[in-house]
Amino acid sequence: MTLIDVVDSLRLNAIGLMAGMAAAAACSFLGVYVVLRRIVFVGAALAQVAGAGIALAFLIGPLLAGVAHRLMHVSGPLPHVGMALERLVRDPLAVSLLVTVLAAALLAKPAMGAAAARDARIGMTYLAASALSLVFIVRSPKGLDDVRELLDGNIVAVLNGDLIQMVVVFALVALTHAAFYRQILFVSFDPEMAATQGFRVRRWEQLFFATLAVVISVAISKAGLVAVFAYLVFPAATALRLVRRMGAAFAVSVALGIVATIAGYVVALLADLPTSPPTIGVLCAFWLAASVYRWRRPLE
Amino acid sequence: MKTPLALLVAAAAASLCMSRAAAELRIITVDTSLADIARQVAGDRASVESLARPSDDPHHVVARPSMIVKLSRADVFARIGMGLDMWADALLDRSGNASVQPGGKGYVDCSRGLKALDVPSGKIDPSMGDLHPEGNPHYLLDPAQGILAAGNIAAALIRVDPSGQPYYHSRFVQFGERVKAGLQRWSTALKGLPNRDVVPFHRSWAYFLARFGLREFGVLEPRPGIEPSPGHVGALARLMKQAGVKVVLCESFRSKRWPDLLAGQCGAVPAFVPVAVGADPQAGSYIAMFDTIIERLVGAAG
Repeated sequence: MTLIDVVDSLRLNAIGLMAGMAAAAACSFLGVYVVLRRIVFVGAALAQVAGAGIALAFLIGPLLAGVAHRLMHVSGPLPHVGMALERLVRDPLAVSLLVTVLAAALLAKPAMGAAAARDARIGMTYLAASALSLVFIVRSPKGLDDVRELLDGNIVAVLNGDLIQMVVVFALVALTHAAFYRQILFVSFDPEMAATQGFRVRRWEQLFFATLAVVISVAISKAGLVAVFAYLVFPAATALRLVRRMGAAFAVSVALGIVATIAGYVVALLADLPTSPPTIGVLCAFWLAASVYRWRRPLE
Repeated sequence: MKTPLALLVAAAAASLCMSRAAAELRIITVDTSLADIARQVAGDRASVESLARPSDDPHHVVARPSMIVKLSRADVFARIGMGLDMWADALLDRSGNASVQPGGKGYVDCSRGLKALDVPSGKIDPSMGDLHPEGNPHYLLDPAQGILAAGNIAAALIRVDPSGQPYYHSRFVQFGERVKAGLQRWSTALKGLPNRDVVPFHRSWAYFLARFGLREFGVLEPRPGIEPSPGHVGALARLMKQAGVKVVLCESFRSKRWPDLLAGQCGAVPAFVPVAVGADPQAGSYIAMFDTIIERLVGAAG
């Protein structure tokens, strides 16, 4: 592999690379909240739920397509419903998104009584989603490999339409976070104080978890389950080792996610590997380097 | 500051020279069996590389960034077709290389001219499993269809490099003769099998079984692409025991778990065989791959 090959590959697969960077940026941004609030396993659980949603979509797709086809041949307003349903089942993302947002609403509920209540809910959601994924995959008419391929994700095979979909969704999430930055931040880190100051804590919690669910679902269908979980944890954990201010933490986390995507792609090209494993390797190397740096120069 | 920049420019220039020096025809194939067939036809007039590795499942190959670069530089792209290698479509599209796109001079669908088996009749429902509407795509497991693939590749090479026509034609004829000699050898080896029924893992063997007069007694996968269940394995094992079927035929890239379980329940022997060139140390070429398959099949049949 020569230097020209590397430049050519970056040029030819610019769409895939941009999709990877978009997924990295969105997950790395939300990752700062996830890591600081110590809800890393919410990310894992929602990622698993999104995966189960994709498997479920493959399982029920033929059934829903049959219903949509029947509705399209009935008089009245039902053909429109049929056409909408037909469009919906064509993309497994729709089912995945719905299931993940519902799971996020469940996890967003504040802990009742014992401090471990949310922890237990996260664990149970993760386990239930893992078990259901296996059941759906084994029963899926699309076959084990087709579903696994989607869960593994691969930015090399991203299409132009996928990139547009990702950019639109992530832009909406970014706008929501920009508009309600103060509220989400306050409610995330000091819910009691926020409540005494009149913030509707429950509502802002639900909003944060809903945006997390949307980002995870969309990113997983293009970048894969493991890569998305890595983007949620590594860049934020690394950024929080390097900087103290929240604004700086968000910026460094997003930058690290994007740089790791490009570096991981180049390593994948040189070592002739799929893109996810080298990207996670680079994220891990960043975290180790930041840890060594902080060990040698501790924060005062 | 100047030195690293100069080094970078020198490296770029060197790599450009290297790529110019190797300006022979470049053939990219989807799998290693097609790569070997292409090598037999193209000889030293082309370099040949496969996108898939020998151990990959040809239905699902994980895309790597290097594949796009290879396709962007290819003069000829040879695929199995019939829906088996759809994973290559996005890569082909990304490569931006017009001459290897469908309809281009260097595009070869090696199934062209094939009399397909197992073409599904009626409406295909996804609940029927991973079915291919154009028929069974595993035609390269019939050595005679390897000659068909070689012919299609030779035609593309002649389109791209007309001056090489006599060379490609003569190598194609020689390859065909080697395969025909192999067919005689393999047919003779299989003639003495005590039971002509076999149970494959996946419905990959239709062309192979038809070529050598063997029968598919049942299939370990209940539907294409769907993993077997213990109940299905148990029922199949009972039927195999009653009929005295002795061979479970399985591609070497698959897990040994289910074939071993089935064989253990009915006293049969699993034959794990390479279905791509290089998938086994003995399968160094398309012809050597069939030598290995036949040897293991005969060995399993006892």
